[in-house]
Amino acid sequence: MIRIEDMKKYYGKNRGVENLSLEIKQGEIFGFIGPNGAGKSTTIRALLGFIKLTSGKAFLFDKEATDKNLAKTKERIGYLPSEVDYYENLKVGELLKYSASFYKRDCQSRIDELAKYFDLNLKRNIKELSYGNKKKVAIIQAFMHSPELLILDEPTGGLDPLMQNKFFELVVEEKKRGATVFFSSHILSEVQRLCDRVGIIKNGELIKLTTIDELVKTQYKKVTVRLEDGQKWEIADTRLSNLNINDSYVSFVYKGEMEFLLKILGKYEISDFNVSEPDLEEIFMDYYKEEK
Amino acid sequence: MNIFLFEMKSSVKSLAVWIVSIVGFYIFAMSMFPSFAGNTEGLETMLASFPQEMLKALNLDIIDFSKPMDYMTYIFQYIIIALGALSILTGSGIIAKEEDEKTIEFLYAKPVSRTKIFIAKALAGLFQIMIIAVVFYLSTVIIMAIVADGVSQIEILRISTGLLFFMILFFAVGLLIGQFITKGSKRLPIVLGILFLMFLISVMSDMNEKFEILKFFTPFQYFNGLALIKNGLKLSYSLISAMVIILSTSLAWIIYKRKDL
Repeated sequence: MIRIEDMKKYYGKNRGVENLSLEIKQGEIFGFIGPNGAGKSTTIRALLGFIKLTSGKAFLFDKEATDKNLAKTKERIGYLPSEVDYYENLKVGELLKYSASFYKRDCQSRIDELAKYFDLNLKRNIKELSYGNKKKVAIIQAFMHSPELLILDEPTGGLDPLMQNKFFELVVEEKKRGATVFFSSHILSEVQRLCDRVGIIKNGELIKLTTIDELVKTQYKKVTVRLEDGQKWEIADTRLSNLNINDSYVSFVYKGEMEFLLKILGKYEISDFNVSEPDLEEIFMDYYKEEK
Repeated sequence: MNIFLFEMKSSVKSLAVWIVSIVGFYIFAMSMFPSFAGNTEGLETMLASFPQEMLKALNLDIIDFSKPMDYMTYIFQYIIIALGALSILTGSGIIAKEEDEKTIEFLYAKPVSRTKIFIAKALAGLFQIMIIAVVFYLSTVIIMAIVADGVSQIEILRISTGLLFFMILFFAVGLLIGQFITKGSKRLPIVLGILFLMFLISVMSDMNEKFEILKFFTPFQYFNGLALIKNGLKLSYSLISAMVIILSTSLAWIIYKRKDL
């Protein structure tokens, strides 16, 4: 559905993305994680032809993402941008009608349905809308033509928790319908909740490509121990991250062989002990900790 | 077609304001023609006291104020500055404004190529310019029918066509400039600065024969009202203008197709 081959984009001397290769299969929800400035939006904007690649290639629906090809393939794509800027002099309904005029299918009934679902008044002026409401307009725009591919860039920004929940349900519905979703976010809990696979991007490069299950279950353990009185935790090792010491309680995320973990724990007298699956946030921090 | 119609709809108000302002000024200025025509001797005495260079710069040395079309070309000098400003502003802003306000992302997400966006927007701008040229032509026909008898329709057509050509020229130059300067706060002073610089060069080339060569570098000389009504647009000027229009538009299109949002 999406194929990126050695994507490289430089803004002058500044790196946007480099050595980025990626393939997203039909029907999956792919999470693209990274903090602000990691290169997520650059990747999306290059895919959609907003910016031109320095080198490398991108394919959508097996067609190279050139201006000519994109003009056709965008009929099958719904794009939800992270920042929403609209023609301020229009009413919501007018903007959506204009938006719908670019597609071959009739989108009006879906617009009405989605506006009702998100409790959005189509008669309001765009310039009067809050950021959250503008985001709802953007969601309707992205979903109204029932696209085969949804490219969502930081989609929940500005939405309250209730609307976020509704949005997630909508994405799941779209997946059931058969849509493929490229979900870019720095909010890990939503990626963990929705996505099948995940790519982690750091400083413009893809550093990890795996399934959510693998990422959470196979490699990392969250360890919490309570030390007997008078003992002080003194172990620092690259296998331990997110180390948090609070009086006698010590917690950390462990990545490595169990033998080593048992060995270091054996050095202490422990009154309580717990091992659990860390959430994505904690794993993510490990990928992003500063190299010293 | 939807982009073209959207552009037209978005521009209706500002276009109406421009038309009302220009036509209002035109009617007001032409309403004074009978007074000028009835007192040419007094006017000539007054003008004789002005420096010769100044008279040349404003074509006052060759305009016969007793003739309605001559008088009209005097007014035309001011109208053409205003419409030059409108054209270069429209050309430079028609794409750049959307890039500056980031609304262009809306269009880029749609199944439409950049070439189509460019063509639709350029045609919408061109159409607005044509409307203004037609309004100018019709206003002139009506005003001349009221203020004088026997005015040559050919002369009116020549000056109106010249105006249209002039506006297209500045619109095309604006299109090109808009590819480089998208930020509105920077774009407006630059395009208006270019327009007034062209006008200044034209005035200088009229005032002093040493600057005769400069006449080729300013469209205000190509589209001199008096010359237009008498002979139409000179072939050499037409060719230079057409070349500038084609080059500016093509370059603007090539740059637009390749640029990053």
